[in-house]
Amino acid sequence: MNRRIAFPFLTLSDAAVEATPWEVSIDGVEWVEAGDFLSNWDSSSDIHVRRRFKVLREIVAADLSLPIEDLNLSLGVRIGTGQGRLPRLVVSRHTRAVDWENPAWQFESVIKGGMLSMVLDLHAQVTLASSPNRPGVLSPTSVGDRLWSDSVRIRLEGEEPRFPIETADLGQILGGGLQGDAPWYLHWSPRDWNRDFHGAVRLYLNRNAIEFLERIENEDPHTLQLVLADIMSQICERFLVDADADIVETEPGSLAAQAATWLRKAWPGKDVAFIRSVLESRPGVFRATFLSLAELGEA
Amino acid sequence: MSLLLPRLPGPACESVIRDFLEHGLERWRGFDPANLPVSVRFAATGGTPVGTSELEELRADLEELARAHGFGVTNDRNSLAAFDAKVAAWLAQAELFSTGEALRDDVWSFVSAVVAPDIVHWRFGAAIERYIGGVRNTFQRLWMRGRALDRGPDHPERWKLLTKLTEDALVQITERPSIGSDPVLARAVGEAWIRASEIHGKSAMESIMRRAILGIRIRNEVRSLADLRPDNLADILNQMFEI
Repeated sequence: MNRRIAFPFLTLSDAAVEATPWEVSIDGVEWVEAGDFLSNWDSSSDIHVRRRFKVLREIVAADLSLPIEDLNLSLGVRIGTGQGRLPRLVVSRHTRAVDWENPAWQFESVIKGGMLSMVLDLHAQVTLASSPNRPGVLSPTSVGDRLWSDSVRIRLEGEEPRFPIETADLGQILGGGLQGDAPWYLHWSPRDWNRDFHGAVRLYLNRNAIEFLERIENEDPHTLQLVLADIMSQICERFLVDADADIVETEPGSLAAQAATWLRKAWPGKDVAFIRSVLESRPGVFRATFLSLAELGEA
Repeated sequence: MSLLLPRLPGPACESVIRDFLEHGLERWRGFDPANLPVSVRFAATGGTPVGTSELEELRADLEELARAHGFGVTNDRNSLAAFDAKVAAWLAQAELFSTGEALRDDVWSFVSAVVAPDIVHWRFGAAIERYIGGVRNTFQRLWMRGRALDRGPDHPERWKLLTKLTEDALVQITERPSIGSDPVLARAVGEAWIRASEIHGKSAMESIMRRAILGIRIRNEVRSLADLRPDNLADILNQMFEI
């Protein structure tokens, strides 16, 4: 369940829904518990997914402050794909009314490999199926109210880690010049702040910077700190230059949302005007703040 | 077996486009499917790399669609809007773009920067985000619209949403991943926009659409709008669109 959102009605505790971990299989051959990454997939391989759900009536009634005979719920699964924090395309959705005589649901589906791209997104949810007759003051009342949910994102292609990173010859991809000797290069554009963050940025490590690459591979904390601070600084600095930068109303998962998250972490409780004034009048402090924030585990 | 499409990574795309824009349209040597830029690559496995004949056909089809709407002759606003609608419908039905390959930015970078930069230039000039893969890419944005707003093959006016909605409305729907990625919700929002425009008038729709999109996004966080019955969803959207 998305705990960032203050729901205007009661929702279900995790105890109300017994759900096994998602299991996935390439072409139905060998089932494994879903993790961050599914190896050996390509678009000629179909992906089978399965999971068992059981909704516990008594806990639901207590959680939602609804009479036990007044509970009409739906269980649903939405399958999506495409790079980014949100799926680029919803491939299919499956819904089933919760039958209290048999409140378990063994969900299983096959997704054609040709439909998929880079990521498989599995979103499960329980929603209200009909308006209750005798709701409590804070009970959900509208059909479709989201009562419980969880999501997993499974990467399908090895070249796409959580943060897209690639090793390349910077001299070649940046078309020559001094920049080709830089140890790293963040490829991104501030043209569209609503763009999905993971689709909008890619970190290129210079193939020719051997010592630097070794430090990255060895997860040298100071090297990682410098790279992360650079990423945060350049995105946030440019974000603040935009006159309409807003750190409150941003599209979830977007470049703007990521910039806003970093800025809020760097200056908790401060508004855009304050942070912008730091950037303009004390740029050294601005950068130092991100260097500090970038210490592993903070950002 | 799927057809694998050529991919042009972002920095390489920028380099190709910088070169194209610096030397000018007149010096562009045209699309040669047998001589692709060295940075173009394909998925290692999972299908068959698309052949030169399919790429030639793609170029010919895009050029034919563009010429039918004034490519090389005019770029008045109505012609460009008609081109957008026609190409969006065409791309959404094109076999070549029917797989997950079409969800990749680097595929659309290839189409715009290598196959048809001259058409992109006619449509948008030198704006680099129209060549690079992403929601602003000339062809990717049209493919997204076509896929999101298709009323289905049995509908007598299958592509009407593409011709009726204004550019602002189309952008508001397809550039919001929480709406544009879900064809059920995207189509319902498009239909509600048309109903609202018939009442409020098209000129009033920009601000109404912005308020509606904000309201839909907030409401969708706590209520699964795409899972509602169509009439129930339409009622909610009518409220959002002040009908």
